Amino acid sequence: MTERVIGIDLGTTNSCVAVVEDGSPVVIPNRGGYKTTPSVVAISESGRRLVGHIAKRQAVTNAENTAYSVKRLIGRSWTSPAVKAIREMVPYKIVEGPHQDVRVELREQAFSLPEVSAFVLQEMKRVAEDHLGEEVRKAVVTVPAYFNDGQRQATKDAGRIAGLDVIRIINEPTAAALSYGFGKEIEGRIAIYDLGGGTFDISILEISNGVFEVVSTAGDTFLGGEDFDKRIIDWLVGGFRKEHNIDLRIDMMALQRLKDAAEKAKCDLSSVRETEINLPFLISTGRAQALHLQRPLSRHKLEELTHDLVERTLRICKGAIDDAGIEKTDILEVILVGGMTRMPKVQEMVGEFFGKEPCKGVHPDEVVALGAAIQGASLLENTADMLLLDVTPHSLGIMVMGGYFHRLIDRNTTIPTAKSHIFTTTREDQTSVKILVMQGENDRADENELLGEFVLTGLRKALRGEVEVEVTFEISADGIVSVAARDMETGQHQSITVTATSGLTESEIMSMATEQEEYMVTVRADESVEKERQAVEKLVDEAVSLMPSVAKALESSALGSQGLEAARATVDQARAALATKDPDELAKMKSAMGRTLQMFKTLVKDSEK
Amino acid sequence: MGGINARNLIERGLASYGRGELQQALGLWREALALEPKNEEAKKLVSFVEERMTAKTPVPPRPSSREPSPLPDPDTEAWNADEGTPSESDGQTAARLVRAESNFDDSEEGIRKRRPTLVSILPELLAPSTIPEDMRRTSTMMEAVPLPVATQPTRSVAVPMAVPVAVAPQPTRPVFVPPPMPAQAMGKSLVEEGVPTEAVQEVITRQVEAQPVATPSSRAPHRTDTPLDLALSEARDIGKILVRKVSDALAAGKNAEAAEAAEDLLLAAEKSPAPGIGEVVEPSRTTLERAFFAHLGRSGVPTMAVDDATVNSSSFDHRTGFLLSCIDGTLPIDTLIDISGMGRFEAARTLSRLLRRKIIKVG
Repeated sequence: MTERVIGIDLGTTNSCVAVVEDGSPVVIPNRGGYKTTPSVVAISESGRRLVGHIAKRQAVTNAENTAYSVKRLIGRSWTSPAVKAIREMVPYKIVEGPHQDVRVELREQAFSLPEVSAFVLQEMKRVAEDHLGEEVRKAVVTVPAYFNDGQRQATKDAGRIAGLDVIRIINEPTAAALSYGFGKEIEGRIAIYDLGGGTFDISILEISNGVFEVVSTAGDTFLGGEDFDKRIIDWLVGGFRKEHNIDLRIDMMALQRLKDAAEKAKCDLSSVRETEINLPFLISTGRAQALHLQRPLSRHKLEELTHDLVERTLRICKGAIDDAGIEKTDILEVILVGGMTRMPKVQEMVGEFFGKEPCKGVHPDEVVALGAAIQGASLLENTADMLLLDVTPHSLGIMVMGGYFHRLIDRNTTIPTAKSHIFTTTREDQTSVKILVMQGENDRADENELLGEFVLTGLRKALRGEVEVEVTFEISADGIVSVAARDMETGQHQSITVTATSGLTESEIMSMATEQEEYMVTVRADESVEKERQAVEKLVDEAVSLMPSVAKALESSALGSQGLEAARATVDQARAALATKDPDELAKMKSAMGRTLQMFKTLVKDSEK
Repeated sequence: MGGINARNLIERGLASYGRGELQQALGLWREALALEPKNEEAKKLVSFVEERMTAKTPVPPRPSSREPSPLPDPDTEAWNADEGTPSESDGQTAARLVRAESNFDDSEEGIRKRRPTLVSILPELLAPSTIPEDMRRTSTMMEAVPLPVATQPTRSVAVPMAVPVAVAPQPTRPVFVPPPMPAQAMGKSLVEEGVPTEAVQEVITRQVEAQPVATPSSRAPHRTDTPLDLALSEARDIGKILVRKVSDALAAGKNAEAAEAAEDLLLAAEKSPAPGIGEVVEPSRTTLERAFFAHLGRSGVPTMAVDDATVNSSSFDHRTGFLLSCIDGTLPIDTLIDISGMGRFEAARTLSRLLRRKIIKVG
C-alpha cells in the first residue's frame, strides 16, 4: 500500500488537515466534527495538555497557561523586535531559551516554539490517523510566503518533533492557488487575499503552463478575525457599562463568554442580517444577583464597527500590486482565503477594489490545506505536471562601508536564482575582507537580520579600490542560500552556506521528538483504560437501575435474598474495579457485569410475564 | 479472529505500558506480533520499547496529573486523611469515613490541628471575664467538651480535658449565666437558615433526650455554655449526620441522594454562623467531591435538559452561568471541569446541582 502524505495548514489561529483520497483532495474533520482546529495549546490546572477547541474554550480563564498565535514567534530570535512587541501583548509568559531562542512558559514549564507547534501538528496527525485508520508519517506543511529560512526551518523541526517527516514546506498562497487550479486549465495572474484569524496576507501569483510563481507578497501579522471580534467585544462592554456601570472585562469568566459570543455572532452575521447576543447570568452584581446581557447585533452595525480593518487590508493589497509591477486589471481572479473572507462586506470591498467579483468556488478555511494535500500527493507520485516556483520573501545582500546594506537579490525574486556583484577594497594595503550576509529591506545594515559571516584573506596589497572581489549569492530550489567571495585577480575564494536554524540543537529536537512519542503512547494507554472503564461504568449503571425490579422479581423466586446479595456483591466489585484503573480487573468485571446484567434482564422479563 | 486477539493484546500492552510495566507490555505486544507478524502497530510498539530497553532509558514517567496516588495507610489515616484516595471504592470510602469519624479528635489539640476557622476569633467572644474562675471550671455530668482553640491562653475558657462524671459542685456565689436557647427554638432558626429539616430534627431529638442524662456521642449543654457554644455543638452534630448520610448513600450506590446530602451539608455550612459545620465539612471535602462525581459520572457528556427561556427565567449566579455556557453536548464532565477555571470541587458541585434541578442531563 502506498504511504499517504497529508497536507497541513498550520495557521496562526486555526489549523486544518487534508489528504488526497481516490484522486480528490478532502479535508479531514476532527473528533468534534470541525474541519479546523484552533492552534491553541494549554496546560490545565490538573496538568493535562489541552490542544484545539478545548484549549481555546479556556483561553481566557486560564490565560497564563494558554499559548496561542505562536506562529508569530516561531523561528525568531529573542532579540528580534517582533518578539519584544509580542511579549507585551500576550498573557502567557515568553522567556529566553538557551540559544537566544524564544520559549513559552506554561505552568512553570518552558516549551520551545517548535515544540508548541508540534503539539498542534501532532493533533492534526492524530485527526488524520483516526480518519485513515493508519499511521501517517509524511506531511506537506504550509507557511506564509514571507517566512524566512529560520521560520521555515522551525516549522520543519516542529514536524519532526510531532513525528512527521515534512517532505516539503510550501507557501500558503501557492497552496491556495494549487487547490483553486486543481483540475482546471488556468493561465494568468491571480491574487490570493488571505484574511485569517490573526494575520492578513496578500499574494500575487502567476500561473503559466502548470507553473505557479509567487510574484509578490505582503501582509500584516497583526490583523485578522480576532480584531473583528475585539470590536464587537468593545461595543458590548461599552453598552453594558453604560447600562449597569459594570466593567465586564474585570471578570475572566465574563470575558471568555464575551469572546466566544462575539466570534459566534460575527460568523452568524455572514449568513443572517441580524443576530442576538444572549449571555444569561454573565456577571455578579455583588448582591447575590447575576445580570444578563442580551443585545441584538445587525450586520450593518458589525460593518460599521470594522470598516477600517477591511480598508487596512486593501491598502496592503495596493502595495503588493505595486510590488508586482502590475495593474489591478492584470489580475485574472481573486481567491479568498481565511474564515474572515466569509463576511459579506469583505467580499464586497475586495470585489470593488479589484474591480471583479472574488472567486467563491473554494472553501476559504480549507483551501490551503487542500492545496498542501495536492502537493503532497503529487510529490509522492512524482508527477512532473505541477511545478511550484517560490520566491525569496526578503532581500539578500551584504553590509558595505558606512554600515549600509547592499542588496544582491531583491525580495520576491523567483528561486532558484544567482546573482553576482563586484566590490573593491576600502583602504590601502587591505589584505582581507569580511563578508556579512544579511537579509531584510532596510538600507541600514544593522536593521536587517544577520544570516552569517566569513572572511576572505590573502588579498594583494594595493591602493584602495584597486583590488576587486566578486560576491555571488545563490539560492537553490530548496531555498538554501550560498554566498561566495572571489579575488578577481588571484582566483582565491571563500564561501559559506547559510543554514537555517530554528533555535534548537539537533539533540534537543531528537529528545523532544522522543518525549512526544512517549507522551502519545501514554495518552493512548490511558485512553484504552478509559474506554474499558466507561464500558464497565455503563454496565454498572444499567444494573443498578434494574436492581429494584430484580429485588421484586427475586422475592418470589427460589433465589430469594441470597441471589440479590450476590448480585449486589458483583456490582460492588465492579465499582471497586472502576476505582482501580486496572485494565485486567476492568476486563474481568466487564465480562462479569455483562453476565449479571443479562441475568437481571432475564429475571425482570420473566417476572413481567 | 487473529486480528481481534492481536488488537486485544495491543490494547492490554498499552495499558501495561501506561502503568509502567514495560516487560509486561513488551510481552503482550510480542504476542500480538506473533499472531499477526505484519501488524505495523505491534511492530512499532515492540521496537519502540526494545529501543528504550537497549538504551537503558527508564520507563517514562506518566504525566503527573494522571499519576496514580498511593493508597493511604489505614493505620495512619486520620479524620482528614481521606484526601487523595482515588482508588478506593465508594463502599470503602464509607467504611473509612465511619471509622475516621469515630476517631474524630474532639480535643482542643485535635481542633487546633484542623483547619483554622472562625475559631481563631472566638476566644474574644467566649471568655467573658465576668464569669469567675471556679464557675468557668464547673462541669456538668457530661464528658469533657472541646471548645474552640484559644490562641491566647489567658483569655480562653479553661475547660478541663477530662472531668469525672460527678455531681457538679454548686457555684459559691450566684452569677448570671445566659440560658441556652431551647432546642426547638434553635432548630427553628437552623431550618430558617436552610439546614435540612431532617438533620435538625435528629439533633433536636438527641438533645431533648440528652437533657437529663449524659449521652455518649453528643455534646450536652454545659452550664457555662453560651448560646453560641450550643449552636456550635449542634452545627457540628448536624454536620456529622449529613456527612454520614453522604457516605451511607454512596455505599448504597444512591449517588443522587449522596450528592443531595453533600449539598445540604455545604449549604448548612454556608448559612450557619457558627464554624461548627465548617469543621466537619473541611476534612470531608474529598468525600463530598466523590459524591458529586458519583452523581455526575466522570465520562458522561452533559447536555441542556431545558430550553433557553427556562434557563433565563431561573436564578443562578454568574459562575453557574459560565459553566452552563460551556455545555455544548461534546465535552465530558471531566474535561468540562478541567476547563471551567473554577476548581474541581466547585465545578462538580455546581454541575451536580444543575443535574438535580434537571437543568442539565448527563448522557
